[in-house]
Amino acid sequence: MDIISGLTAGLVMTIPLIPASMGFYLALRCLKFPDLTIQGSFVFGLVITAYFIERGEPTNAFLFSCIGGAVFGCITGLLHMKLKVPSFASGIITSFFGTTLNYFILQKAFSSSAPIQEKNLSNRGFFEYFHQLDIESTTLGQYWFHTILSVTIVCVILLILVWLVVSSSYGRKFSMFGNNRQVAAIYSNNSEYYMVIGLGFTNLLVGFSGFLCAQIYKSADIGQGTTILIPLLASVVIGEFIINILKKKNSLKFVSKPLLSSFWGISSAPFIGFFIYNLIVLIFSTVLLPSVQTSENYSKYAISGFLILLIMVFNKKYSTTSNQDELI
Amino acid sequence: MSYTLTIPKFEPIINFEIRIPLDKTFAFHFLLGPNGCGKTVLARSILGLNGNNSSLYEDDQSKISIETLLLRRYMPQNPQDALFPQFSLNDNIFLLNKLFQIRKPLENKMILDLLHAKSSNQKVSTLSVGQKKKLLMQFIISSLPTDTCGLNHPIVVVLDEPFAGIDKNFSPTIQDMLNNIANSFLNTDVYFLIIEHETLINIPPYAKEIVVTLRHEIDLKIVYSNNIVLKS
Repeated sequence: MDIISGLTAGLVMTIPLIPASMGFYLALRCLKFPDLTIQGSFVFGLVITAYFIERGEPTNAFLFSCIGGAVFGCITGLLHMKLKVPSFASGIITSFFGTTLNYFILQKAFSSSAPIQEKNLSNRGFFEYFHQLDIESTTLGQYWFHTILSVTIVCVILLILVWLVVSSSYGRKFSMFGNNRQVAAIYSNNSEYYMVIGLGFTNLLVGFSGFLCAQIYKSADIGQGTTILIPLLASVVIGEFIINILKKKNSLKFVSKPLLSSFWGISSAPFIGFFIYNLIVLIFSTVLLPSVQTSENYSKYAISGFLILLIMVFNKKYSTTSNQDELI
Repeated sequence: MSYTLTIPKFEPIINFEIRIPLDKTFAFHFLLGPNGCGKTVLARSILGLNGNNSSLYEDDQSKISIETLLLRRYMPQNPQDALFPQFSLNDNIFLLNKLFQIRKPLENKMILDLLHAKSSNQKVSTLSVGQKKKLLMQFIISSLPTDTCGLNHPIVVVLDEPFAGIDKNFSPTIQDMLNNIANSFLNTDVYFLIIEHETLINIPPYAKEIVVTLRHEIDLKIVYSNNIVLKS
């Protein structure tokens, strides 16, 4: 029972990162842009939320984290499209710029004279209501029920919104111009505009994720930006893999393809992928490794080894893909 | 009114400004020459896809931006470059109808019949080169205006090697289709530029010809003609 509640707790704590996973996925697949800006825009979401929550203004926190994230994305887009800075470099440059800004905001939030790396918040903003319901309660179940309920509602609304955007006429253009930029140049003179706005939208989701995280974790940590990249990348691969299996139903083939045609696939793959990835990580770190009394430091070795094994087995047995470049 | 396409100096390929007068009394403008003479580069420069600022002059006076959306229709050598290979045929039909702003959108069934394809759910990357060319050409032709009187700007249709990758049985069909379409736009501001190898096209005796050397001292011929006649 403890294991199950531990796993559930661990999974719940990753739910606020799902919008970031969605943003990263849309940038990578729809815009074909490996967007490293998320390091900056995610932390911006965290620190700006910290700033406004300390002032008791969660609505402003919501607005500014989303707008700020979108601005970060647009800056990256403009650097890439107008100044022809390569995609990786433009993301890194914006993140560098963002890091300085983030330190400044966090310093201001807690009226500190020296830069702060990490700080706990005084309350949970919008989630304070749910928290207060049973903050002092000893029944863990009730607490998680309320947290799961509130965060899941937010994420489901987000999923529906993203699905609506992606399946709209604008969303189709957004993914098609990212999918084939040469086509974009042939058909439209505004393709650069779609790219910039597209990156703005994906980073808006990442900023929103920062907003959720700051409230759920009740802390703002500048270093968190660098730790979210690998889970997000893993969620892309795993999510597409699972959806492709579901689509093919009876034929289990390790053909991980971008789900650009299937709009429900676009909107659900990062959710599923992120969930499964975290489940694997949690099973290793909370169940398997403690059972063999191994240090938690070795969990990453074990997880990477497991993933390599999994991919090797599937590739050997079922691989039919000739598009290796599509795997990531 | 006559038009002149102007492509500025574009080193190292074009080291001088080149001006191509468009002649509405001819149905086709062929860009002919051997490999490496710069046919595709020239065509892409005309369409503003090579980064240089090509332009169109009305009677050598007022300049029109070549990047005006309605002005250009382009079928690249590899038709996949103008389609969405990762999308299904369904999605491609939907998007191309929107992009070409076709008033009466082409229906899936008609396209499936044209391509002899079984399902519109298959990805476009799985179609053959010939099928992709047919698909793109159908959209390009359908997007041309039926009434050219109210045309604000000329339309330049560039077809890069339309016969490459098409099976022998279907080549005459495309040849006839292009001849019919292009001749129906004779003396209008719709211009057809066809890029082909000289060895494939019969040049009629009445054809007008301009020769330019873009690079490697290989001649590129710009031929004005009223018919496409493929060599047997």
